[in-house]
Amino acid sequence: MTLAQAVRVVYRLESAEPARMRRVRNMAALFFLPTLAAAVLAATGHWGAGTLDQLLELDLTLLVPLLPVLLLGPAIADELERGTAGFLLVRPIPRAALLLGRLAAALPMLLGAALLGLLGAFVALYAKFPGDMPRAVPHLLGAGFAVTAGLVLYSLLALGLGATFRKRPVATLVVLLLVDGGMARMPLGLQLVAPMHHLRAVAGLPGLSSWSPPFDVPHALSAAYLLVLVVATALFGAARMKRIEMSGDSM
Amino acid sequence: MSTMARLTNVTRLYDRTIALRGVTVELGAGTTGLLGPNGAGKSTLLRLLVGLMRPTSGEVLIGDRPPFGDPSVLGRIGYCPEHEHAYEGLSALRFVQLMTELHGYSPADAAQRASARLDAVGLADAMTRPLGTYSKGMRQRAKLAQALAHDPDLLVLDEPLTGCDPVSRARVLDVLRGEVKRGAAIVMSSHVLSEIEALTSRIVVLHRGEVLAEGDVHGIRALIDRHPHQVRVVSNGSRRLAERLSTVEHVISLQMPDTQTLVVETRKPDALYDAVPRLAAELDVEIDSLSSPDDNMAAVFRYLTTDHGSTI
Repeated sequence: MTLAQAVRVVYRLESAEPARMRRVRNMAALFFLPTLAAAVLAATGHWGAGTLDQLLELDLTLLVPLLPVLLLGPAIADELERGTAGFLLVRPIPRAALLLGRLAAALPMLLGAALLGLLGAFVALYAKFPGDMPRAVPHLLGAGFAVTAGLVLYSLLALGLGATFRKRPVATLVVLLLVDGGMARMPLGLQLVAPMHHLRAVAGLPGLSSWSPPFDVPHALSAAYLLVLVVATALFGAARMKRIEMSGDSM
Repeated sequence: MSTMARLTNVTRLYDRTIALRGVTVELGAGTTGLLGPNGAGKSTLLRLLVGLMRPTSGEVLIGDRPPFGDPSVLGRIGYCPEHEHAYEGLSALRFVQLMTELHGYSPADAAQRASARLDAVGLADAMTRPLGTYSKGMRQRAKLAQALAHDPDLLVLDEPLTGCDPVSRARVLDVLRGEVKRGAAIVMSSHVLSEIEALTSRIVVLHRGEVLAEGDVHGIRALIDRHPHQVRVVSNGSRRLAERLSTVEHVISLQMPDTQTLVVETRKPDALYDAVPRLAAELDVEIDSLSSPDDNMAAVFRYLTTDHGSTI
């Protein structure tokens, strides 16, 4: 059976589980927080030139990394612990299908909600002052790319590392997110390693480093770096899945 | 006996615990029973066979290939795990269908096979209900159906009769006999000797991660029959059953920990397994479950491995 066929079946298996899809929907709904905030700010007149950036900050530094980690970080570890992963691991399929099938079941809803939330915030803010809109459109496109790349990257990271650190997957991943955020603040170009730095760059947000002037990298290079990271993370996750064993509790 | 699977000097560690120690076993066509108390290493051995884990040392082969991560081997195996967890929101039909599709069957073929297998294990009327609404015995049968649906060469069943009532127990055993006739090899674990005996006389006895004995079942049978054995009966007429069982010669004691549960201590567990459904039918009592607490086998094994170990 090919990887694509197996992914489709695992995707259907995941999508047919109401409780799992409810969790995905609940998490995805949080991506509308920026829209809500923008609507309140626009309605009360408390908005300015940097308001969209602040809402993007909320998206990129909190929601985009954290929600996939909370949702997908424990997914495979939980299934291994409960034993249900065993039903899939004994099938003649590429094991990466388990990871990609779960990603396929969760990501479209997360991504759709995140992009709609972002668009909603943009519309809410600029509906009142449509003259400013043309200048903000390229910014919005960059932000959309950053949100997409960030969600794919952190989802893959959550699944791959979540399967690796099976004892406390979420705690481990949150620490890694803090390291990512911390590195993005580092001087001497260390921030160039951090995905967060490049996500912000592509979204048109200022760098986080307050210790020294950040290295300016063309946005295209940041975007390319993010795509390479996505591929590398997917390969890492697939490699982890190949080695995974289901020990369970009973002997 | 043609060899279907072979474990050679297999040791498996969990952190600092030794689950299996230097196990060498050959499994051939027909049915092999894997007998042992809790913690004996039965589930570990079965997980090694189905490629859910690798041995810490030694070699596991299905045919001539290790099963871990090898699709060409895994396609020949059907596995029914011991745990109760399943995809709670899915109907049994959908669950078995999707599992079967993962063996390369089209959705239509897989649905047909799933439906036939669920029918065979007695779940025809309940197959569209979510697994979350199933009793333990029904889940067991749904799990068995997903293990059977792709017609595997090797069926690996971890305590497949746990929680089944006497009627479904008989039905499952019939299905398994049919699988053997089809040519499948079965490896089945249990801590209830009579369950294994109903299918085969060939057993491997595991204790504390080591093979204590293998071969014919009769050696251990006599010892088990001499040793008092507990059977737990859950029904809607425990008191009436208790009254009738109190007159049965081989029953040593009767206890009722609650209104529905009757714990019977007997010297002849098999005779009791036969008698209880018959008495229930006579008294119009509905039996929810008939099970043997694992302590029984642990006690028998303590007995065997201390004073009487050499008699197996």
